[in-house]
Formats: sequence, structure tokens, C-alpha cells
Amino acid sequence: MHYKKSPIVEALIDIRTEARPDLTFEGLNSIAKSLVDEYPRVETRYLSEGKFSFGTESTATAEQKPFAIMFFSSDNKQIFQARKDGITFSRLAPYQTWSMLEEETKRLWQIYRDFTHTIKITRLATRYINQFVFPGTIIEPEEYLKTFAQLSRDLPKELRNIGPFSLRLPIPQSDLEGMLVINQALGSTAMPGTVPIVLDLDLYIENLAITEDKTLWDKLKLLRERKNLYFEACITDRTRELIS
Amino acid sequence: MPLTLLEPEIVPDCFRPKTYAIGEAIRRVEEMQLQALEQDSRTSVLRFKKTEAQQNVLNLSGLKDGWDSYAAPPPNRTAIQKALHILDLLDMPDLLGVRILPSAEGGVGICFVRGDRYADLECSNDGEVFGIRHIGRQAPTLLPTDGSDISIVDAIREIRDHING
Repeated sequence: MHYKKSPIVEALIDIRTEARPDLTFEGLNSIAKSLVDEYPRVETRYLSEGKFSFGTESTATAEQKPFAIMFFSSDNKQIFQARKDGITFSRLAPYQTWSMLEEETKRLWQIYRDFTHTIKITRLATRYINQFVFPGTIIEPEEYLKTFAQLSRDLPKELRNIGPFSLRLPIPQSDLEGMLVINQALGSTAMPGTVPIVLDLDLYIENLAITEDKTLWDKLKLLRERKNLYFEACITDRTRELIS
Repeated sequence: MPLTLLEPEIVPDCFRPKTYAIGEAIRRVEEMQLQALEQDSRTSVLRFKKTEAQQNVLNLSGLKDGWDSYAAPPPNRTAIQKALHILDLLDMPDLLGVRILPSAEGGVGICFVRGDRYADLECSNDGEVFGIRHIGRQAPTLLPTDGSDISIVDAIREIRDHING
């Protein structure tokens, strides 16, 4: 189903691999030469290995290690992350189509694979982060969503109002030997008089040992179908009207 | 079950005592929350950018008096708390170009840059929030707020229009 006013703020495909022991982070920089035309801006993403101590006095100590090279398209709508252990390709709003996402991932994967001589794929994921903007300052979530945290109706009405929330539901996908994580939360309040809700569907298969690209793309098709099934099942017709 | 945006002022999680519970179960819950946070921001660029911005704000709490080799005061809890709250008000794509800097006058600056277009929102140590925007060397335009979410969201909208040209 393709929606005219797509709520997708980020769609991504993530491929994780068994990292080659001799591949260095600095060595990954050479990939930039192949991408400079479409992805002219490059940033290094660091992983903080640190500790925050929270309380009345919050302090932070962190050791930063390079984790990924992020390649940004000139309009910042497409971002390719290359890591020692794989790639992630993200498309930000406005979302285009699945085939665009898939084709560009295939192209970038080929560049990465040729460069790193990666042999084994260990994890595959697709993730769609949607942000719905529902009209009104107070809404009944059930009118828009079919998957939602419910408070007991045994409580009096005045005690059932809920404020900012976040919900995380990991749902095993036994037939795929994978996991779907539904994250739902109150979104950023960019528009007054609306209630924004984020619906994040993160579907992945771990413990893979794929060596053939064909197997990889076949698995990805299955993930796409499953992701669509959950998305459609999570929303009501009223939401469909809003995004159509 | 109504869901509303109208709520009392929220204290960010980072300023709450972690927990008063001491049992094994709460440790497991906290461990799961941390793992979930790490996993959720690993692949998504937008999630990562938000986490990174939040971390950068929190890192400023470690600054000492005179951090700029002059007499600049470090950002205090009020400024850090407000800056974290503003990050929550930003639309997710706004976070792509965000830089977090301490202010020489005492506070936290949330800066947006694209090419020669610049804007920022400054959260001062006395609780005020104001911004500026300019292009290149043009005289800056002030973006005043009264500190309320509505006025800050208005300023963010103006910044977004300015940065996106």
C-alpha cells in the first residue's frame, strides 16, 4: 500500500556481516571515492563507551571509538553508513518507494562487498519509523491505532488520561527466526494542536550465515512483507484516511 | 483512554534518581532498558542523532568555571534541562544538522547550520530561551521566546524555514 501523505520519517535496510579481521576503520575511508558524487558529505560516527551517572548532579565520562562512516546525499535525505561489520542505508522523508530503497541498498552493498571482500552475512533488518500527526490536543488513540498501551477500564475515567509515553514490544517471528520490535512513543510537538505519535517497526533476523546475495535479497522480501502486514494491522481506517 | 499533550512540567529522566529499588528484578529491567536504547539507536540515523545530541548536552555538565580560558560559567542544571526539553520539541529531521555548544554567557546553545545559513537557540543559566538567525555576515535577527513550549515551537519553525531556505 502506498500512501500519498506517507508518515515514514526514516526507512532503512541494515546488513550486518562477520567483520574481516584485517579490515581497519581507516581502510573504510577508501569507499568514499566511489560515493563522492552521490554522497558528497561524510561524517564519522562515534560510539560512546561511557558512563553517565544520573541524579542531582549528572556527570558523564565517555571514550569515543569510531563506529561508522556516514555518507550524506547533497539533500541529506539519503544516508549510507559503512561499518567494519556491515552497512545501513536510510531514506528520510519524503519516502519514495520500497524498490528505490532496495535498489540503492543493493548498489551500495555491492560497492561495500567488493571493497571489503565480506563473506558472511549474520544479520538482516528493515526498519520503518513512522510519525503520525493526529488532530487535536487530546485524542482517543483507539480511534487511530489498533496497537496501543491500554489502561484498565476498571479505573475511573479521570485516572485514565495518559501523558508522554513510550512502549516497546519485542515480538518473536518464529517462522522467520527473527524478531519484530514495535516502538511507540509520543513524537515531537512540531505542530500545535496536534498529537504526534511515533510508530517504529524494527524487524530483523539474527544468527544468519548467508554467503549468497540471492538468499539475502529473498530474505529481505520476506521482511518487507511482514513489516507491511504489521503496519497495516497497527492502524485504523481513520489513520488510513489521514495519510491517503 | 485519552492521550494528551497537556501535562505538568516534566523532569528529564537524567535528573531523576535512577531508582530507589534495590532488588535483582529492577537491575534486570534497567539492563533491558539500556540494551533497548543501544539497539534502537544503532541503525537509525535519526535516533542516533537524537541520542548524540542528548549526550552532548549532558557532557556540558562536566564543564568547569572558566572553561573557555576566560571567565565563562558552565551551563547549570536549568540550562541543561531546558536544552534537553527543546531536543524533544524538535522534529526528528531537524536533528540532522544540530550542534550543541556551551555559551560563553552561561548556558547551552543548540545550533543549526546549513551552508552559510545559521540559527541557534540558546538556553541561558537563568532559564531564558532566545535565538538568532542570519545568513553569512548579515545582521542577525533575534528570535525571542517567553520560554513556553508554544513560543519555542514557533521559533523552531522559523529556524527550520530559515535553514531550509
